[in-house]
Amino acid sequence: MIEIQIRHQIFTSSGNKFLEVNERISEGSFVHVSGDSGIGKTTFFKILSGLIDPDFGFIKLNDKILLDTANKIFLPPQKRNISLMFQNYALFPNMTVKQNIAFAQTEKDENIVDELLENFALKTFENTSPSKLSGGQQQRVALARTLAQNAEIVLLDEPFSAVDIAMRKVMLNELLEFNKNNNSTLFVISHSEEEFESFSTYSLNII
Amino acid sequence: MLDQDFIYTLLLTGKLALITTVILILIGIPVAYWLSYSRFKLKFITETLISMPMVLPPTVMGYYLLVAFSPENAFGNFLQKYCDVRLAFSFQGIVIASIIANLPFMIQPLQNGFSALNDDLRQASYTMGKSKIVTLFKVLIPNIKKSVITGVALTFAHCIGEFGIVIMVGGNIPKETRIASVAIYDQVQALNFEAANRYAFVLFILSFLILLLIYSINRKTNFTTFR
Repeated sequence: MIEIQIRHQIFTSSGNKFLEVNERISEGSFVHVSGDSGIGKTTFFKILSGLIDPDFGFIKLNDKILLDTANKIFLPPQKRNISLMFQNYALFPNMTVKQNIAFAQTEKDENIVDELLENFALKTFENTSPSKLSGGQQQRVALARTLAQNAEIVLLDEPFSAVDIAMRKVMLNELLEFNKNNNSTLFVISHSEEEFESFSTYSLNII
Repeated sequence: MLDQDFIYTLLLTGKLALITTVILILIGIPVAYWLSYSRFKLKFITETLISMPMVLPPTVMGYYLLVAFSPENAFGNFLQKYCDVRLAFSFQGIVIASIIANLPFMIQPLQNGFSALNDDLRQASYTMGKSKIVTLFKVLIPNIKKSVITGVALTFAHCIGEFGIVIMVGGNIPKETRIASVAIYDQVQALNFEAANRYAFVLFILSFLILLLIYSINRKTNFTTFR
C-alpha cells in the first residue's frame, strides 16, 4: 500500500495555490494522473521522488516511511527507489543511448539493456549521442532508461507526447508488461483520458 | 650564462603556473559546486571574497600576504617556529599568493558551467540512486568540459603573467622567485632590452596560444542545451 498525503504551496502565473493530494493506492497499480496545466502534476512527481521537500507531507510505501514532515523524516531521492521520467527527458549528453540506459541500473545487466534497446527500436542508435536523435527517439530512450532502473514506483511525466501512434502502442505494451512482471506501481501523467482509460487501475485527478 | 638564467626563469614560471592550476582545480570544483547548488543565504559573501583579486590591485593583496607571512607576525612566526616553513620571499610563498590571486579565474568559469547546466540532469541522476559524488564525476563535470578547460587555461595564462603579487611576496630571487614577468621588469631596469624582449615574446606567444585554445573550444556547439 502506498499512502500519500501532501500539502504544498506552488507559485503559478495566476497566483499561489495549494497542491493537495490524499490517496491510498495499492501496490502494482497503474495510476493515471490528470489535471489542468500548471496545477502541480510535475511538482507532485518531484515531491514523490524526493526532489522537492513539501510544506507538509507524509509518504509511506508499505512499512517504509519516505517522508514525514511532522517528524522531520525526509529520505533523499537516492534512497527512495522511485524512478522518474522527466518531461524534458533529462538525457545525459555525455553518454550514448546505451550508456544512458545502463547508467540507470543499480545492478548492471547488459542483457536487460539490450532487451530494452531492442523493444524500443533503439538498437541502431545505441552508440549515438542523444543530442543527435529526434524528439520521439529521445522520449523512447528516456522511457527505456526509466524502466531499466527497475524501481518500486515509476513516475512518467507525459511519456508519449512526442511519439507516433504506432510507437505509442509499442511503448504502452512495454509499460503494461513491466507493470505486470515487476509489480511496480506506475504513475503516468497524461492529458489524454482515452489513452489510459482501459489500462489504468486508479485515476488520480489533481484539482 | 644568460641562456641558463632564461631557461631557469621560464621553467620556474611554468612550475608556478602548473602547481597553481592543479591545486586550484582541486579547490575550485568543490567550491564552484557549492556556490552553484547551495541554498546558504550568505554565500554571496564568499562569492565577493573570491572575486576580490579581480578588482583589488595585486600590490595591495601582495602587501597583506607579505605582512601575514612575515615572521614578525603571528601567522608567519607560527609557521616558522612550529612547521619550519618560511613563506615570505620563498617559492612556497608565491605559490600560495598565486593560488589566492587566481581563485576567480578558476572558480567563476566552473560556477558558470554548473549554473548553466540543466538541473534536471543532476536530479535525474539522484533519482537513479547515484550519490552526489558519482553525479559530480559521471554527469556534471563531463557536461561542463568547456568550462573546466576555460578555467584551467585562464588560470594558467593569468598565472604566467602574474607580476604585482609575486614581486611583493617573493621579491626577485633567481631560481627561487624570479618568474618571467619579474625578469622582464628586472631586465628593463638594467636597460637590457634584448633579454626583456625574449621573455616578453615567449609570454606573448603563450598567452596568445592559450586564448586561441579557449576561443576555439567555445566556438564548438554546446551539447548541454539540447532539449
